[in-house]
Amino acid sequence: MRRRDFLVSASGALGVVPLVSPRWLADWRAPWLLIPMDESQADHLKAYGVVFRLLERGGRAEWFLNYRFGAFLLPSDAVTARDAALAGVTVEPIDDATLLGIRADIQAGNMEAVPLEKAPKVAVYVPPNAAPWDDAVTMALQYAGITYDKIWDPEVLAPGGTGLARYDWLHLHHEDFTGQYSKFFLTYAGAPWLTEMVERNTAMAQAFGFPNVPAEKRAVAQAISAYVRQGGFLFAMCAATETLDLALAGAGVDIAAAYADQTPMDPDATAKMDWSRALAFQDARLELSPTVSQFSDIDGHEVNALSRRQELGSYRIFGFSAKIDPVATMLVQNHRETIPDFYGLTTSFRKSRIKPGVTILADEPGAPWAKYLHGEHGQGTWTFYGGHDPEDPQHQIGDAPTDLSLHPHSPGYRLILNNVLFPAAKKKELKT
Amino acid sequence: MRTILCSLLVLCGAVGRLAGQSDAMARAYELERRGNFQAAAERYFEVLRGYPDNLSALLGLERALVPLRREAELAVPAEALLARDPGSIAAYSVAMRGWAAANRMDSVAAVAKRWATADPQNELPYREWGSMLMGQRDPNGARRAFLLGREQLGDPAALSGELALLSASQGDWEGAAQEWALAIGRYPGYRLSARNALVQAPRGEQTKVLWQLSRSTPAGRRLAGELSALWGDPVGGYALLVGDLPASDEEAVDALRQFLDAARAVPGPEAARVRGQALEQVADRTPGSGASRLRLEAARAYADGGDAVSARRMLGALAADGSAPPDMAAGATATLVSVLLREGRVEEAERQLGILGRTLGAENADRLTLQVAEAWIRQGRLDRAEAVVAADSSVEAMALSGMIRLYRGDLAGASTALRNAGPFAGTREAATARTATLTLIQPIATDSLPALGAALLLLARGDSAAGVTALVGVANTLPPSGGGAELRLLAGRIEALQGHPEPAERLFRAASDSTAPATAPAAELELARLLLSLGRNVEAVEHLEHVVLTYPGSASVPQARRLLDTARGRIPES
Repeated sequence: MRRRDFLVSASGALGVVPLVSPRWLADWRAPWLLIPMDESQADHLKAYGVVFRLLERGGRAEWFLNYRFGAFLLPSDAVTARDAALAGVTVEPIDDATLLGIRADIQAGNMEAVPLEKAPKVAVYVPPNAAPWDDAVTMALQYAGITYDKIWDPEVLAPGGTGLARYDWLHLHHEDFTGQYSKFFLTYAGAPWLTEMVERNTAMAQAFGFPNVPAEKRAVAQAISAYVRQGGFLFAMCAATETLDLALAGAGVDIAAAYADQTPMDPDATAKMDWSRALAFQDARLELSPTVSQFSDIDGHEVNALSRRQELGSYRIFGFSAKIDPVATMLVQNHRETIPDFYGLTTSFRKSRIKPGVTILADEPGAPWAKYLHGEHGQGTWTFYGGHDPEDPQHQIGDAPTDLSLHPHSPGYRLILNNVLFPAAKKKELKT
Repeated sequence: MRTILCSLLVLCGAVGRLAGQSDAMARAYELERRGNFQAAAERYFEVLRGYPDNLSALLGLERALVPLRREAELAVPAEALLARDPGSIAAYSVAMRGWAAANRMDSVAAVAKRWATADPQNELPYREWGSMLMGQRDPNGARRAFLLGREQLGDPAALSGELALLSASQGDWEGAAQEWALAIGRYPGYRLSARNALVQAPRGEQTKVLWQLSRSTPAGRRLAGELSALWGDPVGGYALLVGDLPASDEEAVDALRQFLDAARAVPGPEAARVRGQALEQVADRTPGSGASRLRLEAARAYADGGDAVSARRMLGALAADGSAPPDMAAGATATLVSVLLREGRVEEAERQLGILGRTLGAENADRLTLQVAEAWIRQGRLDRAEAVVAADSSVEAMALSGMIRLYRGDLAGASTALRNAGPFAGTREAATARTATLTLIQPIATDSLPALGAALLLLARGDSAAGVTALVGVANTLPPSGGGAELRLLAGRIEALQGHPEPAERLFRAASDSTAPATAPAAELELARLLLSLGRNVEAVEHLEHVVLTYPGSASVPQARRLLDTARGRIPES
């Protein structure tokens, strides 16, 4: 369909009398819309939503890596211009000549234009009753207006991986894949939410014929690993990063405390771990005490081990060559180079525990830990981001949810949304 | 001579060993200070191998092993120390922690029993033992340990605090209450811990807790009073308290203060009145100027609780009391005037202010004068209000004069006075209200509109129904861009606030007139807000989108966008 025809049909599809608004109508009349991602952008987070919805409507876009901190180029149409105006996203109407100049700049510098051609089908792994406000990714998706499905163990454990195969992108947040309820069992004993979590997980393990929750969660971790191996994109934050790898490496080893599986943890569990099965980490030492809400020494900050807890600093995003390494470049697009750190059950990743071959996307200068990792597994890729909520550095259970309309420029949240759009990039561009 | 030589050699050897021990300890401390726990632990081990009874080395070893998560290695050196010094309390405790870390709970029990034998009157062995069992998720074992301690010590109140916490953690709130009653009977210092623990009892358990406490000791009944207040029955709680007030003034005041501490957290007029009663009781038992201060506080509490009679009883004497400290008399006068105004007795409030006003500072006197004028306005007595502020040249008084002119229909005069008062007079809310008033009257072309003044006066007097009708009547006489839309918007807001959505919707729709572009976006935003509150989200979203797209330069757009996000579930509702 030619662009003009499309515009006419799009106007018709709106089914409304055109509204009188010189500003966004003027935007629409230009052939292209540039979404700048530098300081001029009024809402960095919602910009990703505008692009995503365009892709959902069957449109195409381009991601100008490193050009104005990761700007987007969209063909102009009434629906997109209206969508951007409603979202409060800054757009700059540009003509073909201006675009030609931009392309010349991109060609000449450490920049790249990556076509975005398909809205990824997004799944978030959460229990069915979870509110969207306790997970940074669902908050970011909700705020940006990006649609996603909630899935949990029944979908992940569907025979032959059919449940996950429908999705391009899977997100895990603070799930504990060691099946120990984030080791909150002692600290929050009697809390209604914990009781409900235990009941729900136990029922699920029984329904699938597993002897206990740790065994069932390990099977879930293995299904997720298989999903990535077969070409899926995995993004994990907080405790899901560490516990996913512990569950994978701990196959056949009792790494769960007695309250989770009625048998004490194997005292030699650390020595028995098979790290070749893990995605990101190796040689970690497991936390043996059931009373410390920590899993291993992968996390550098150890937020719940008060005597060893490390203060928060700032982390620095690395720069990559856009033309040689567009994948890493996409994941680090940001208008800030240094970002204040934030705690999570797993806040950071000790470099001494990271496998060789894993790409470190961000770390804290001078500290022995990294914040943001990326790697490949089979035909797919995974990205791990430490911490719970980029705009709530000291997050505690029961805290008020973060209102992202108060943080529309959040650089920490931008990193999450880079990951959401990353699978939309044209496949051949990813093979570098 | 030979004997002396031998003795000297032995002495030199001992001194040398002591010096060696001290050096090794110093090195271990230094390593620990630098955070090299691994090396520090090795040094401490080295010292303990040579001197197994060195308690400092054992404690240092524990400090070094904890960050290394090797506490299990503590048990052996601690046992070695105990073998040499069975009276070392600290070593028993370390040994128990070591065995617990090694998950050897039978050894923990054995150490606890040895400790109890060595020190038979001490609760500590049982307390440590039980706590470690709780840490191992063995509440029944912990209970057995505590009860064994109680039996061995022959004291029915021993370890009651621990048993209370354990019972509560197992959901046995009645048992927890029983144990806390014993605990506070024995150790009054436990009262706050008991209150903080028991206040968490679920609603269904609260009656049982109160019943258990009320049949225990006087201290238990007073605790029941505090809990009752915290659980929303301040009157019942106060009754429990006064029924068991200690005879001595000092103890009674202490009990009343503890109750007040609890009742302060309870909102509502009932709680305020009870606070007034408790404060009055404390005042009656307090000598000197402290009593005056307490009576003033009691008066304020009575006033907050709507008990004007008791408030005046407190204040009347206090305000006229020449011996009361000046700041107290001023505070009493201010509170008395406020109470009278709240009762609608404006004439008397003005009289009291005239008589006692000299005891107040200028700022307080001005504030109360304005309150008197506002009270006259609420009674429709514009002449009296004007007379009260006539001599006042403050910007606040100027703002009030502007409002009086407005109520008389003098729009030009009101506009001038309100503008002259500027944005800084009074509170932020008052300044915002003034700006809103100016926005309301500025589009109106005429200088005088008595009908509008009368309508606004009706609203000021609290007659919203008549006020809205009058306001709409005036709006009908004005073009939308000449004030009609603004008046309808105001009328709509009042109807919405009063819980009348249908007339509010009609008025907001009428005010969303595109010929009044200064008012239309705000009116449409209010309409959307109303529709959202009625669950009509689809319609609300349409209007919000219309505001954002049609009036991109309007100050209402950020609010509209935020509301749009809320309506679509994109941000949490605040």
